[in-house]
Amino acid sequence: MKRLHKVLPLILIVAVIAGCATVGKTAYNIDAVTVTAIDTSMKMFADLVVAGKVPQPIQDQVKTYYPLYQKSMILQITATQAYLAIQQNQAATQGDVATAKAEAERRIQAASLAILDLVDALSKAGVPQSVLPKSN
Amino acid sequence: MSELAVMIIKLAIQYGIPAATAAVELMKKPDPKPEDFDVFLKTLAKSYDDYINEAKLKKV
Repeated sequence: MKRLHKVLPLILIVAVIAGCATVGKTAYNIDAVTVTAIDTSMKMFADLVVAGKVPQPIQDQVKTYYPLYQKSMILQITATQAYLAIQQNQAATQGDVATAKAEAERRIQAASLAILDLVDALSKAGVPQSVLPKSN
Repeated sequence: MSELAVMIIKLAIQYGIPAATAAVELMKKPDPKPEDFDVFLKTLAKSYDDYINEAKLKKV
């Protein structure tokens, strides 16, 4: 239930994207916030590791979740790019646009879950909540 | 104040104006094109070990 509570705002983001006329701008801003915040958090995490302040099990968690976050974000961005390209393509049918939109939404949901796992691990490592992407 | 504005202010407080400026620059696109997302793909190419090695170099 706690996890669902955390995911709800992200589901709302998906709903906003789905209903928003400026999909590109919304997706771009969300990616800018997420990628910038995770990059900053990972730098802080690495400083804590080098300072010997992060227990090995937490380091292992971040080491596991970071590549999953990368992979899901890359798939999400690629799907968003494809959706925008199809939207701008005059020859695309309504069916093409709907399929690309559904794929982008599916990838956004998967990326949201991967972000939550990574943020939880980074939080346990001692990265302040104020630096991490907002997830609740 | 929007969540975005709060995050930018926090970045500025904790990491200085250059970090906040960089974040704002990323968000300035009025009508992003598919290729504009490539900046994020480049950032995502950085591995776990890259972060740790950078931190080690900073400490030396």
